[in-house]
Amino acid sequence: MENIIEVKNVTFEYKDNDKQKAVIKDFSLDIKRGSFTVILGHNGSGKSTLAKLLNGLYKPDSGDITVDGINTKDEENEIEIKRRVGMVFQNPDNQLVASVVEEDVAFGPENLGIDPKIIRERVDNALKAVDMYDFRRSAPHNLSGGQKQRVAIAGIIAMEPECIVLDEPTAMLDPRGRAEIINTVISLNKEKGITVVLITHFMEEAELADRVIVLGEGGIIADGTPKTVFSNAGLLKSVSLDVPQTTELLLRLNENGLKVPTSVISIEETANVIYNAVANLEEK
Amino acid sequence: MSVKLEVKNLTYSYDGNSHTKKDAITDISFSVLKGEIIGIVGHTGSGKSTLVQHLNGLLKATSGEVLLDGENIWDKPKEIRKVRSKVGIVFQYPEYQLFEDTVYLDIAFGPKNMGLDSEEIKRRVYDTCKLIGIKEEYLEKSPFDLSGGEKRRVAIAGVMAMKPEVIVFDEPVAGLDPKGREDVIKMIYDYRNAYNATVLIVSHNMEDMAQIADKLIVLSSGRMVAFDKTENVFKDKELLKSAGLNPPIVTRVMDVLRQKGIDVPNNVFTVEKAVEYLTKLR
Repeated sequence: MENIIEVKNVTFEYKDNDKQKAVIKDFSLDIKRGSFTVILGHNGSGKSTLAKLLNGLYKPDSGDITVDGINTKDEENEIEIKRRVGMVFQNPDNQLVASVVEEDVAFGPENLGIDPKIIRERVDNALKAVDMYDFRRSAPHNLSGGQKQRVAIAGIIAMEPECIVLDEPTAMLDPRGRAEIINTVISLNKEKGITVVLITHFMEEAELADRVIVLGEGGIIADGTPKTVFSNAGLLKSVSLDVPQTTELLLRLNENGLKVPTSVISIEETANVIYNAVANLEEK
Repeated sequence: MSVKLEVKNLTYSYDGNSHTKKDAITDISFSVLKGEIIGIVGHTGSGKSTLVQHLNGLLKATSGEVLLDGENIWDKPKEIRKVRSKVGIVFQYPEYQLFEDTVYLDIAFGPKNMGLDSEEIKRRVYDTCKLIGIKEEYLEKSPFDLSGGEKRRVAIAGVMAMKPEVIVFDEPVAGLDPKGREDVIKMIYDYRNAYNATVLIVSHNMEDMAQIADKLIVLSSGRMVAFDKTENVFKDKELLKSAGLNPPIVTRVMDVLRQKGIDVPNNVFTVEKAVEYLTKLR
């Protein structure tokens, strides 16, 4: 697979802060077209900064970021970058602008100057893709958090981006809303082939990704499939990441002498590995 | 222990405003002792926020009453502000409400509104910071220069500085990373322990509730479907399911193990307990 995004030796620091602390330092990363990548990191690890660099909201101080071969640094490429990389943020209330759901979804494509007839079609398709078509005439403020966030995602899909970057889209949602968003994101990736970069601190959300990247203070500290990354749960805990309770349980069992693999996350798998370990003990 | 807060047959209905009707509450009664930590759980729209806003008179019940130390909070409507300094509410994402130039001024805002003199205000700001571990050098900083977790702590300190006897938190740890979560939970314990305060916490997170709450109030469609010790609520799978809630993850792992024929009890809902039982099996 070819790369859709290439980040090469990027350094970025906030100018308005008196600390002048480099939050992203000599950072490199490739994202493959059509992949589903999860980026984990605690508050302050630079993951939101990275997200904003990926769609050109921030420009690198040094180094280069290219999307489809287009450099985010050049001002004249701004529309082309935004057309390719859509962003979804944490707070659904800050992202919805119109008083009717379908108008909100149309906002992005309208700004891209797309023919109104095509917009109509795109808005309908986008709302169907996030399962919010029945709410197309509703007022956004009457929706639940999960529904609002799905409308925000529809607004991005209607611009037909190659890639969607979601910055902690579930942080403000209840468990039901979180499940809605994760299912939506997975279907966009698997069915529509959209490249997904999901930034989160919920490890459970990484379970179905192709690739998991863990950010620490100094950059990438782990990079691999969910199974390989999670088998090193000690490392994740050392950077104060949210270890799922299942992982926590398996780690503690190991510490207390019951040897179980720690690379599983789901409740079923966790029960299975514990069952096997206990059954083994009984045989002996 | 004495009863601190009592809610009797509380009903609140929205009239004529049909789209918000789902948040109404019906005939809710419970009583809370001094020093207790009570969790309020239920999925979105179950009436948690509506209930909480009655506890300090932000909403007035259609029928039923709220008693604080045995007195109806609406007995003297003109003194409802006094109730609000006795029952503090920390809303969701309270850091979004920070607005002053310095951390000191933000924490002092509540005590100032209570009409306290400046010496007392100062004492309260410093006492609160000391109690919950906000360093003095932070007081002159702008709250906007702090990290997300620190902002949350400052916002909570602003409510604690009013020294409420009952303090209510709506999703106090939502959106924080594990370190931030731990800090906020510790703050809540420290405050409760220092003043023997009564604490009510609204949360979606059953794992957090398993760890913190002495008792749980379960709301479903505006009705209270359970009020019992946390342990008893988590044992009742049917009840949780009907309220649209899941038991804590550890409890669910233990359930699968029990179905597979391993002898584990049905009242395990923290990692500590689970490790204790599973390592005993040898």
